[in-house]
Amino acid sequence: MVIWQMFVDSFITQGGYKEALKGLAVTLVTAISALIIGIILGTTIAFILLSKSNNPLVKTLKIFFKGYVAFFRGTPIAVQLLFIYFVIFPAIGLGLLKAEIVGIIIFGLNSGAYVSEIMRGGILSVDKGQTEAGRALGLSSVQTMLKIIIPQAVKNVIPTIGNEFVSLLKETSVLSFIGVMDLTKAFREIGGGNYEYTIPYLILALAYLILVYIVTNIVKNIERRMRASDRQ
Amino acid sequence: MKKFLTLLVTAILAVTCAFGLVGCGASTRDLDDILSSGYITVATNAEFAPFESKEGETYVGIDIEIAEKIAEILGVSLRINNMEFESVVTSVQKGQSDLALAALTINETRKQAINFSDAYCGAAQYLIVKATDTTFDACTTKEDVETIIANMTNGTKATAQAGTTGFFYIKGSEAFEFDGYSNINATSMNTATDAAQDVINGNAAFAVVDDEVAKQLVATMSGVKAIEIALSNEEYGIGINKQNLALKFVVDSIIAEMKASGEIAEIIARHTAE
Repeated sequence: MVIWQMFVDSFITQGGYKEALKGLAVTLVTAISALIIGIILGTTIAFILLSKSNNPLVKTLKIFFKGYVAFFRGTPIAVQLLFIYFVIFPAIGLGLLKAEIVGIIIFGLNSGAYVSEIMRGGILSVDKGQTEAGRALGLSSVQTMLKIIIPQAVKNVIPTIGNEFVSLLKETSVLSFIGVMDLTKAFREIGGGNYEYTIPYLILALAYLILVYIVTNIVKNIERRMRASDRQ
Repeated sequence: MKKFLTLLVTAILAVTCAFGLVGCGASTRDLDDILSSGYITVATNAEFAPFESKEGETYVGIDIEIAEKIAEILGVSLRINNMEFESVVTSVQKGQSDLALAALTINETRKQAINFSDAYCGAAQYLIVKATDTTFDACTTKEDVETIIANMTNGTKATAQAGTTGFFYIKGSEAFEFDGYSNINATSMNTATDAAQDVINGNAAFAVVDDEVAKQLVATMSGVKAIEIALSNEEYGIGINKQNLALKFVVDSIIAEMKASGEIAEIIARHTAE
């Protein structure tokens, strides 16, 4: 098997596996950090967008975040990477930030836009009667939100957040646009060393498949536990 | 786990069946196919002026003119397959493109994947640094430059276009006989322009690109300068599929003829005159 030998050469003998492991770490760290940033940011944005307050600050923030969500949901992630890394960050004095960090920030901002919509949907999906009941029992509107609405909303959005993580994991494959070596880039370089891509790309696809399978199962488990007390 | 294995096997089967990969070798177009189909396809990365770039909808540059000449002599029309530089060799190797004209340096690794025509153009590697950077100003020889690079702080980032000679120069490569630099963190960008932009923005200490492209970048981008000292010398060739020996013969004769008549020198001079 010539192609197998060529793969062993570039993967083992020339140390390609080290690059692959580094790339795997970059992919995982970027996706996980982006999801954390996304959940914090997205939840905040969802609250602001749903708020009925007449406070001028809230109103300004609403306009700003509507634009923000429109930009990050309306443009491809590759364009966001190129535009922010090469144009926006240098213009605001952040040009020296490491590309890996910029990648995490951009994926986080991108995820924030999607999570805000997921959260908004989650909060709205809780029946209005729940708010009314909470208020009727003498809870304040904040208490009602925190103790009654949010717990139910979180349960509703868990599967969708899981999907968001799966897409983040896969979308990080365009990180090489700004010179970050992620899992995909690592295997492209392993194959590019001797122009034999068959095994590298097969393993690359399997690696993503396994990662996504693991994540899907973790999310399913969380979901099952959360549903344990449900009347079915 | 059993469920996962079933899923895995199904996924692999689905993909291989869908694309007909099972038991099917790479099919290439030989010279007869090219002539009878009436077109020839050329793989390139049109972000590498003055060799290949786009002006509006049309492809221009040294390589493009040579490709046009080859198509004209064969009496077929020219179809450009514009792709990332890293994919150019593979595209010809897999028979998806007939020729590769992409300022492609001839080297041993690439020779294992594809055949090369005789060289049609010489090239060298230049450093690109910030216009305000005086680190390399006093250098007069290749050794001067390499000593400064080798003494840079550990982990200094340098950049080049992915898959290019410049990238392997920084990273080290047996095929090119480059030692590389253990203190330099080599990162690759999709285009030479992106690599130069990374230098302008201060993300990378320097970029390594082909000489003519370096001159072009300096002429079109503000904020960078080229250190015009050749760090290595190499030659460009046209990539041809290994099975297509007739095409290689034809291309070699055309290149020999264009070299003898001075046409190649004229094309290069026209595109590099500033």
